[in-house]
Amino acid sequence: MKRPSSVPMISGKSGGNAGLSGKEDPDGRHMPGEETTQSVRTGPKAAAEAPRTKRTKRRIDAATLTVTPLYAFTLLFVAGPLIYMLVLSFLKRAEIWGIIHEFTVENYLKILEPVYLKTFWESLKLAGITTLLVTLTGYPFGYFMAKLNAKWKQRVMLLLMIPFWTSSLIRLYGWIIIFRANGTLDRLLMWLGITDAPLKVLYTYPAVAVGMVYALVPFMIFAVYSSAEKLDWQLVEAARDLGATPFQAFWTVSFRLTLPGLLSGVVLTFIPSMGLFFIADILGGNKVVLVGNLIHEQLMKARNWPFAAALSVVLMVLTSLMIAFYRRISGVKELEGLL
Amino acid sequence: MTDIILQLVQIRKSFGDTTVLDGLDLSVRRGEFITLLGPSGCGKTTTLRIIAGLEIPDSGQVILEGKDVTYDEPNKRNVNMVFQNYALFPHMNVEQNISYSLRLRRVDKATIRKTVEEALELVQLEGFEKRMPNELSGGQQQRVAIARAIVNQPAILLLDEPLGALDLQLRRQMQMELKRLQKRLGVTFIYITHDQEEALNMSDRIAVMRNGQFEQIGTPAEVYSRPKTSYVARFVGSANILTGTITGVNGKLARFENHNGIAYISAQDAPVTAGQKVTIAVRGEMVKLTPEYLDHPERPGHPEQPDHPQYPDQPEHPDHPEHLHHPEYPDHPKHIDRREHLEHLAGLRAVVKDKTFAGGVLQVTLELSDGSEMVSKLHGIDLPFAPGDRVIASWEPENAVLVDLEETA
Repeated sequence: MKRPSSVPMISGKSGGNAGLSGKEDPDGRHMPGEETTQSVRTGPKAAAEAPRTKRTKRRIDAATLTVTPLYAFTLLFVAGPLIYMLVLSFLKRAEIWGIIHEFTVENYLKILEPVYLKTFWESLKLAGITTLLVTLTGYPFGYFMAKLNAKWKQRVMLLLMIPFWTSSLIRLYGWIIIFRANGTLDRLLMWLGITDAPLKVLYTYPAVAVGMVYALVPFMIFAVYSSAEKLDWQLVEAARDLGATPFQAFWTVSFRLTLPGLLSGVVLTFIPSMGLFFIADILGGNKVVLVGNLIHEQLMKARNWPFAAALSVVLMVLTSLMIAFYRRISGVKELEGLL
Repeated sequence: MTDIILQLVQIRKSFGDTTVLDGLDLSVRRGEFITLLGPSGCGKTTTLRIIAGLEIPDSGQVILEGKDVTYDEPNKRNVNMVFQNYALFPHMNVEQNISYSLRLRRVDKATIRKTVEEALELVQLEGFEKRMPNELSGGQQQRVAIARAIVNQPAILLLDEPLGALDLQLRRQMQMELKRLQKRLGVTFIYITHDQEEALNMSDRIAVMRNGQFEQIGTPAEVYSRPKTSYVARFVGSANILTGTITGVNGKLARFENHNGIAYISAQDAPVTAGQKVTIAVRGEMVKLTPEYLDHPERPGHPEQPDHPQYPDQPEHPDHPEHLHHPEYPDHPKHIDRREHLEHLAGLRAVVKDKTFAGGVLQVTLELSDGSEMVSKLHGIDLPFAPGDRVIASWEPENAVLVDLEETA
């Protein structure tokens, strides 16, 4: 959890929030005489023991007042559900409805069954393919977009934004029209004489992959663009001047310097593509089952909440490891706009 | 024998509707330090980029070491550039930055290490190999950029306002160092600056640029003391530019007159005729001031003051009014008494407007009767001029230079 590093001081505002300050201290310090019950304290123990004057105490009260809603919100809506999910994953499901409050690791062992492992593997594979395709299309797009003049940048940006004005679900239905037997794609290919029978792309693996790429490529474009936008093109000129061919200059300078953007694009693509169950549902029929679909099914249809929670926890751990891995291999400390 | 290393022939370049370079010709000699001097937007950076190959001219030729390289890629040219903001690769340390071109050419590691070491020693940055560019000061980044550009042993080193971002003191120091470096390496430097002082300090030759053309190319001394145009005179050393009419020529001397008074200029460099409208340039430090107080003994033309023997106002001078017996001649003694006559002697009448100290020099700004300004730079602190004083500005004839003579030449 991120803590704001500086907090505006509103001195002289004696609201008398002594009660509040006892619970929520922005610096994560232990207030004297307070029994902490929160398990997520991260801040260092500052010199809290130093006797405080009345004035400083009042200041801290004001500061506390300012950030309290933020912390309350985060705890309530981020940490809370996560902890609930974690706890849930170690509980048993009830026969018909709800859960039994009994500790078990059964849910995690169940994931090791081949059918579920296969789902994880399929998800990773599809996420990998999607990420690769998104990188191959999105990186050049974002890179060259950064080279456009201001007017064209705006226009292209607008074109990229327009689809977001419509619900992604509705846009996905558009792909059905294109992919279905004798749909737009089939008719186009047949009219061009490339095929002579409908391909029936809908409800196949490629249809899901295309849907994924379509849904996720803007994020890659934005990530790469924001990185390439900051690139000093004079560095490329310097490389050329020092004897680099255009490709060498790109590879040794531009690519290296846009790597943070590319990697955050990868993260932005890879993680959602593990969980975009509705794309697999709508474009893949029942043929493509991803972890996301599995969780969805377990939660909504099988009503096995603890198992769904366990799956979610594993998925989260997996993606976290993935991000750590990316960061390690790239040596990039800061992903563009992320983490 | 002069060995020409680079020739620009009739280079033209425009961006959209803007003509940046308009038929540029330049010959650069091997081993010289040539400076392109001009205000921003005059096309000097574009010239440099065309030499480097980062820009292709619309027409004209770039001939490097006898070979036409106009359309060659930048990586195919044996020139290297030091960019204005250094353009160091932020993801590489000093060593990697400097060795970049060597690594591209797959030079073996031992040689790279040795070359980098030598380059760092040359720019006095030993021990900085592992630093990242953002851990260096501006001056240090500057040195790395230079080291990076010279390890390739280019025929020409192009420097685009390399000292622009440094503070004054560091800039002075780097000027000396660059000059020393250039002498030691014997590499041809093409240097860009808008700072005339920098150009005068460092260059073997200066090419003054204006609107995509060279106004004058010459040694610092030539450009400074014999500017060809009022633009050069104003840009290099901010000379005073005055316009007036030649009202008399006598061998080496010409009399220059405008509504502020009379002055004498040397007529040796350029032939002038009476009645010709001319522009002259006079450096501030050449302008002497005397109080406009007719009986002041220091006033030129004062009876106690021996007049310049060659001035036409000397009685024994053939041009002197006393020798001109035409009764309608305005200076004729019959028409004016000696006092009034003095009014017509050398010097322009002006009013002191302002005075400031700049580096041990008193800079006096004068206002002429037409509202234009003139500057006189005087040595000394305790000078008796205060704003509002009426003074006479004068100079030795040889210190006034005729400029803008294209139409008569």
